[in-house]
Order: sequence, then C-alpha cells, then structure tokens
Amino acid sequence: MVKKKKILFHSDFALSKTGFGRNTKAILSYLYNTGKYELVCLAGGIAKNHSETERTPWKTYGVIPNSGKEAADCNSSQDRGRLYSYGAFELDNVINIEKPDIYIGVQDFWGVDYSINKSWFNKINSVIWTTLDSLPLLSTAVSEAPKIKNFWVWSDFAEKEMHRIGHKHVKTVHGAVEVSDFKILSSEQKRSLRSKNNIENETYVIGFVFRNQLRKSVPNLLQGFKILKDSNPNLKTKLLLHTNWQEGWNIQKICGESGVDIKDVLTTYVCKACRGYEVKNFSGNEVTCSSCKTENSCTTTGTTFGISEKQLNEVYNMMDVYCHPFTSGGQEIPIQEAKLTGLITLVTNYSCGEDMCQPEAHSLPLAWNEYREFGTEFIKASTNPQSIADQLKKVLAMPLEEKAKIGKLARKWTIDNFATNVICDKIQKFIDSCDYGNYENTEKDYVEKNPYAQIPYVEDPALWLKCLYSLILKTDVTDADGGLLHWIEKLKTGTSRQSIESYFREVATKDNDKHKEFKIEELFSGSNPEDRIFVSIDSNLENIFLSTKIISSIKEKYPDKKIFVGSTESCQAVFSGNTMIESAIIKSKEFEDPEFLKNNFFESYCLDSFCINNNHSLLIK
Amino acid sequence: MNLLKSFASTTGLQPSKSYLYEKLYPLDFDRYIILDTQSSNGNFHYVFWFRVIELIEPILSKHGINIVHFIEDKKYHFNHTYVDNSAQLSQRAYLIRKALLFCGSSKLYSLIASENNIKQCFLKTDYSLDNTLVEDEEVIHSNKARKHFLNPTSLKINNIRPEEIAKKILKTVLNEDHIFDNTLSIGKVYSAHNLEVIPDCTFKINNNSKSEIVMRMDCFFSEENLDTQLSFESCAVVTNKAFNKNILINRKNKIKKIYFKVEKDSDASFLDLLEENKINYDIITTLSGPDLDKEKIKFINYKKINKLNSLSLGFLDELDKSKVYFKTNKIVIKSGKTFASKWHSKVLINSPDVRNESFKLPPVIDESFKDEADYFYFLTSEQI
Repeated sequence: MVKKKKILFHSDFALSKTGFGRNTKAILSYLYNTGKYELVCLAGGIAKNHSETERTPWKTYGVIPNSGKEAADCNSSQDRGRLYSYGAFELDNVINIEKPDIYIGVQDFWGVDYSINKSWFNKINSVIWTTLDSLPLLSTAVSEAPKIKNFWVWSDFAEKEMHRIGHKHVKTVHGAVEVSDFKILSSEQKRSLRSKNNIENETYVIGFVFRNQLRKSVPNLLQGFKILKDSNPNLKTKLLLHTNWQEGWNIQKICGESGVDIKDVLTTYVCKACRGYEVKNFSGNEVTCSSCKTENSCTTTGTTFGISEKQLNEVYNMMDVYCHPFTSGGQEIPIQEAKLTGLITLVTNYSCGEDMCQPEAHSLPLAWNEYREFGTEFIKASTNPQSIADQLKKVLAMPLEEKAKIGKLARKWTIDNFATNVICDKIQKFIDSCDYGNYENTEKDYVEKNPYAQIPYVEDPALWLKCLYSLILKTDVTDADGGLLHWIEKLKTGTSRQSIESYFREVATKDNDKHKEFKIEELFSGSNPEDRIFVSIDSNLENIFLSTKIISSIKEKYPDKKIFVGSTESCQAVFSGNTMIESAIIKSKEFEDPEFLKNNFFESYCLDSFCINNNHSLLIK
Repeated sequence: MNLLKSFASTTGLQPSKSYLYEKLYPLDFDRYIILDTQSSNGNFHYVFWFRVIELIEPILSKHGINIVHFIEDKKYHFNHTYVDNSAQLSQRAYLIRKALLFCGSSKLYSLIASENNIKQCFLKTDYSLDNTLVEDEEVIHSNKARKHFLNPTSLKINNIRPEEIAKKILKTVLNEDHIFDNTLSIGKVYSAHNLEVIPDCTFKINNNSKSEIVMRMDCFFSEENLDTQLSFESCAVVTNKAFNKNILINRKNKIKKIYFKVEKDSDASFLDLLEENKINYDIITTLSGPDLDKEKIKFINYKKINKLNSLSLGFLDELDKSKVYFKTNKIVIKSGKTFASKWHSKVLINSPDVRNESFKLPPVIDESFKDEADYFYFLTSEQI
C-alpha cells in the first residue's frame, strides 16, 4: 500500500468562527473525506490539549500554553501573546513530532513568516498561503517571496501586484467557502424569518456581516445609510450589523455622531444557554434570551461564540442587499456568503474587493478615496458614503426579477471560484505532485551572540531595534516580527532605549553562556584541584537522597577535602542544609569529559547512571 | 543488586548515614500513620484509597491511631489531617520519622522511612531502578495484574487490590489479621445517582433524592410514553434516532438534556432539529477508532462526541459467581418497578431499595450488562 502523505495544516482552529478557521474546516473536511492523506492541524487561537480539539477526525494541536513559564511568557505582552496564539512557539515541536511531508501555513503573513527561515522549511514541501491586502505589498512578503517556493495568496489583487514586481511564481488560491451552507430561501421562508424577528416585510434591510475591526468601514456605512434615509424620508429601512459590539468600533457612539437613530440599527444576539439567535435592536452587551428566558445569556456574535452556519444563512436571507465597505481585506468571505444567498453585494473596489468587482462577479462597486495608514504607509480605501447611498438606491429601485437574476449569476460565480471542491482540487493537485519530506540535516549550528557590540545611533526606533537584533543577537527580523513590534510598543510607552539595549545584551550573554565553554576558575576559585572531590548526581530525588549516604562516606574518608556536587535544580530540597557539601552546582557538559574531571578534582564520582545496571563510575587519579 | 551495594562493590566505600535536614511539623496527636494519597505523577497515584481507608479507619480509631495524608492539593471526604504542598520536604521528613507507619508509592518517602526504621507498606510501581531500601516483606508489588481485579487505568499501581493494602497496614501496625470481601471492579461512574427509566409505561416518580431521571429511548422506543412521562416531570433523554418533532416542541421545557447516541451510520440531522428548537444536548457513543472517526466528520458542526465506557467483565472469569455481588447507585425503572440493572428489569427481579442492597450477577452476561457495568461496584466474598 502506498504510504499516505502527511500534511501539517497550520492555521486557525477548524471550529473557530474566523475566516481562516472556516477555511481550515472546509479544506480539512474535504481532504479527510478523500481518505488519501494523513492530516494534522496546528491550530491557532486554541489552548494546548483543549477538549474541543478532540472534535476533529484529524489530529489537532492547540498552541496557547496553559500554565508554567510558557504561560507567563505568553501573558507578558500583547505581541508575545499574539505570537503564541499563531503557534509560533509550537511549530518546531509539532514538526519534530509529526515529520510532515507537506507544510501549509495559512495566516496573515506575520502569522507564518517565522516558518520561512526554519531549517526544515525547504527540506519538505512548504506552502505559504497568505492574505496580502494593500499596496504597496507588505515589504517582508515581497522580500521573502524568493525564499518561498510555493507562495499562494488569497486574492487576484495580490497575485497581480506580485507578478508586476517580478515574483511570477506567486499564485492565487482563494480561501474555500462551504457553499452548501448558504442558499437562497423561498420568499415564504424569508417572510417567516422576518416575522420571527419582528422585521416588517416591506422594510429595506441592508446587511453587513463582519468582525468589528478598524478595517471595516462602519462610520462610512453609517454615513451612507444616513444619506439614504435623508433622501428617502418615507423609506422603511434598517441596517443589520452582524458583529460583536464589545470589540472595535463603538457603534452606538458613531450612530449618535452620524445622526443615525440607533433604533434603525439591528444586530444578531446569540444565546449561550439555548444557542438560539435573534435579530433585533442593540440593547446592551448581555441581554435576557427572549426564547429560553435565561438572564444575561445573549451576546452579540463573535469569533469565539457565534451562530451556526445554518443560522447565519437565515440572517443573510433576512437582508435585501448586502453592503461591505472596508479599507482593505484578504478575501472577505461574507461577500461570497452573501452572494450564495442571492443577495446583490455592494463592495469597495479596492484590495480583494477588486476581485469581487470584476464584471462576472455581479457586484455593485463602491467608490473610495485613498488614504495612507499611519505607521505602515499602506494605501487604504475610505469608502465614499455618497457612493454607498447611491448604490443602495440603485438596488432599491431594481425590479425584483432583475435582482433575482443578478443574485443567481453572482451565486454561480461564487460556486465556480470559491467552492471547497474547486479550491481543494487545486490543493490536491499540488499535494499529489509533491515528494515525501526529507528531514536530513535540519539542525542548525549555534551562532554566537555579541553582548558587547557597538550600536550606532539611529533615530528611527524600528531601525535602531533592528540593529540590536542584528548586531547583538545576530539575527535579522522582519517588520512584522512579533518581538520587534513588542519593543516598538515599549518605546512608545516610555521604556528607555538604554534599558532595552541592556536587556538585549543580557539575553545575548545568557544565550552564549548556555552554549559557551565552561570556565572552571569562576566556580572553584580559592581551592586547588587536589583538595576537591566531585560528585555528579544528575538524577531523580530518590537517587539524590541516596547520594547523601555516599557523600557521607566520602566525607568520612576525606574529612579535609571539599565536596562539590553537580546536580539539577530539584536537588535543592535534599541538599539544603547539608554541611558536608561545599557547593552544589548545576552541571554543564564539561563535567561529562573525563579529562576535565581528572584535571580539576582529586576524585570524581559519577552517579548519574545510578542504577542496577552497575554503569556508574569512579575516576581516581 | 541494589544500587548502593553495587556502588560499594565498585568503589570499596561503604555508604554511610543519609543526611536530610528536618523541620518541626506540630500535630495535636502522636500516634499516627501516614498515607501518601495523592501524586501529581499518574504512575504513582493510587485511585482506590477511599476503599482502603473505609476498611482500616474504624479499626485504627479503636486503637487511638490517626491518619495523616500526604497530598498535593486534593482532600478526601474523611476528617483526617492533610499535609499539602505548602509543607517542605524537611517537614515531611520530620513527620515520617515520628510516624507508626508509612504507606504509599513515593520512593523518596520510603527511603526516609527506611533510614529512620519506620515500618512501611510500600506500593512498588517503579521497577526500572532498584533504589529503595525497603525490605521485601514491607512491599506490595504492582507489576502483575491481580486475578479477578479490574485496573480502570493503564497504570501499574492500580493493579493493587485495596483490601491487600488494608490488610497489610493492619497487620503491620496492630499485628492483627482481618478478612474483607474483595473488590473486583469499581466502575468509573459508580458514584452517579441516576434513575434510568425504560419507557414501556408511564407513571409519576417519587424522586425525593433528586436523582437525575434519564429516559432510555435507545432501549425501548416509545414516543407516546416519552411524551406522557415528560408531562409528569423533567427528564434527560437518551436516544439513538430522531423522535417526533412535536414532542420536542411541546415538552421543550421538560427536557433537561438529550443524549444522542452515535452508532455506526448515524444520521446527524436530528441535531439540527435540536439546535433549531434550542434543546440542550450532548453526543455520546460506544464506538472507537476508525468507526468513531468516520462518524466524527458528520458531527463536526455540532459538539464533541463523548465516549462511553463498556467493561469486558473478564475479571469474573473462573470466579465462583455465587459469591460475587455488586452494588449500584443507578436505578433502572421499568413497568413502574425499580431494578438494579437492565437485566434485572428483563427477568423482573425488582428491589425496593436498590442503593442499599447488593445484587447477584445475571446467569448469562450480555452486551447490555457490560455497557452498564461501569455504574457498578463488583465484590466477592471469596478469599482470592
């Protein structure tokens, strides 16, 4: 039987409600059903050993540490936590355990870029499948592109630009959309859904399904909605914002400032107790469920707790039109979902929106103005509110038959381009063309750090930090590196350059100490080798306890000699207060060298392999 | 050969006295034994201490002897002295030196006891390294499975039958020989107080003990009786297939939870109905391995599939079945009568006070009894 190829899919957890998570579920479910591959998922955003990881028929590794030093490190800063959440610190471990033949890293570029320089990356068949959403393209993605043999992007927009600047090997593979979850319901079903949610049939419902983030242009949409209302005072219309009201934009506040009556804004509440949902006006972050009556059980939807795909399909089917204004985006899956439910979609004609606004997609493009994002200088789109209002009016005036016809064409286009089977066909072709992974010679030599490096004065904080990385830690970091971002943030919040530099030097020193040769003089100064006896006991607590019997006998034999014990941290509980011991130290590898022991001790007792096999040893000069 | 002897023969040095710094740990009694009842390392954690203690405590207390537990953080329901992680090794060493006996699996505590000539009942579980000083007559070995005793874990230490420990402690401390009925198996869900109703008829249940009532539609599928029973009281329901939507809607407030039992080629669509009607549910199965993985993909959009435990009951082989009995906290209700198991309900051997009685085995043990066996505590009066 042919050995199945093992695929490590590194992205968001398959059951999380993020775009990446839903893509993971769609892709891995499809590949699982083929029965051809062995699948492993390194799942971002979920804790290690979380019980939910057992739900998938493929092996899933969580990434967020639960306790101990790792957890403390994870909680030490937002940027550090973000890297843990992406799986940056678990990746090597999983690679070592699983030894996959194919690695597919699917995330924003800064969520997977650390994998590119790993020693195994080009030894096996590795893919970076990422979202690039703005011009100029993320500089690290451009500079790293030559190193990435299989570089996939989620949108034609990114592919076109990569090709333009010379990286012709970059290709588009859209995120997979589970098309069977989204369908056009009958008029009767739609009416019934509206009735259940107290939405009048003649109300013109404008929908927007989104994660409440900066890049979703909520203020622009509210302004556009206001223009529409003002120009059609008798129009019964509601704006349905399916999002989380506790993160991101303060929607209530912006409504007030834009002159939009909050009563004209609907949202989706989901109940933690009965898992039912309801579309209604926003009335607080935790409200009583009108169905099961559980108090404070309903919240607006989010990535960790939301409604099911079936329920989301119903929410789309309550809308008359779908409007998706955004500054930039990787794929914006809700646009495709809306199209699958037969809605006419209004989309900002920038970034992945350009893909959605090609004629075959049957969207209505939204005009936008360019602005530059502070800090990154990326081109971003500010969607024109008048354009939003104009296109909403256009759909409002459109005959029902025309709307239905366009809706069906848009649905077909989405199925042809984004359906899971279409995307997975491409992925399967790739997998089947790959050889098995090769893990020979993937270990890297240690590069000595320079804690005493001279750091030039550089005004720009990021460049100065990059100097610290390069000159002291002997490593290069990208603009999106989590550590670099962490230190930029620290500088902004007032941490002095001097203290950061000291920290880098300290890290370099410690790292070198771990790897450098042991300097005996520092440990044993003031005594000569003839007066020293060394007892090595690198073992468990019981053996360490037993070693005290041997140490006693050695001391009886040589009462004037000083006994040095090489052991582990756990020995402290046993050796503490033992007056026969001069010093207990944590051993370095030099203590394994017989020549070293001969030259530095009168006698050495090695009790490390202290067992019935009788392979402990004694070196006597 | 013990490693110390081996060391002595290699070096010519005779091991001398050990050294461990001690700190006072005051107690308000001086006659006590130490039980090492919790270890964070599963290999050293014994799970049947409650049975050991139930047997020895009344006898020890008659002699004015107390029990001190060495634990990490878990206290048992017994009113004893618990020495947790906040105590240092030096304090524990002090307590061991003053004890009448140490019983447990910790090699370090055993060594301390040996060095201080304290009697022991050492539960030996690490055979890779001979680094204790305990005499063999003070050891209970765990390297072999006991005949007729079910170790509910994969860990050697739980091969030891609790009565062995109890007898050894009493013999060592009091020089008394005691005879106890022997444990064969303690089910993992033995402590669950369930009322399982087979819906072949309907009636009002006098549920004073507030036990969980579970309707077993997977044992007898009657929508009519389920509907009527739900009209009387709130219940959980176990089913392996869809039932009438109207029952779900009309009795929604009486359904505490539905346990959907996944079998081969199950149909997940009933769960859509449960979600649509906002009914609380869990998914359970006795399937495992590839059979389970095949079903998982169908249920991935719902919830985790929880695996139920089915016992093989191999521990009963070659035993005098007439001396075997079991106890249960689960009561099966069928045709208005109470039974200890589904088999008892089939052959109509009912019992008015199931939880305070013990029961004979069915003459032929079928799959249904095995599926239930994790709720039972099996014992035998035979001395094995």
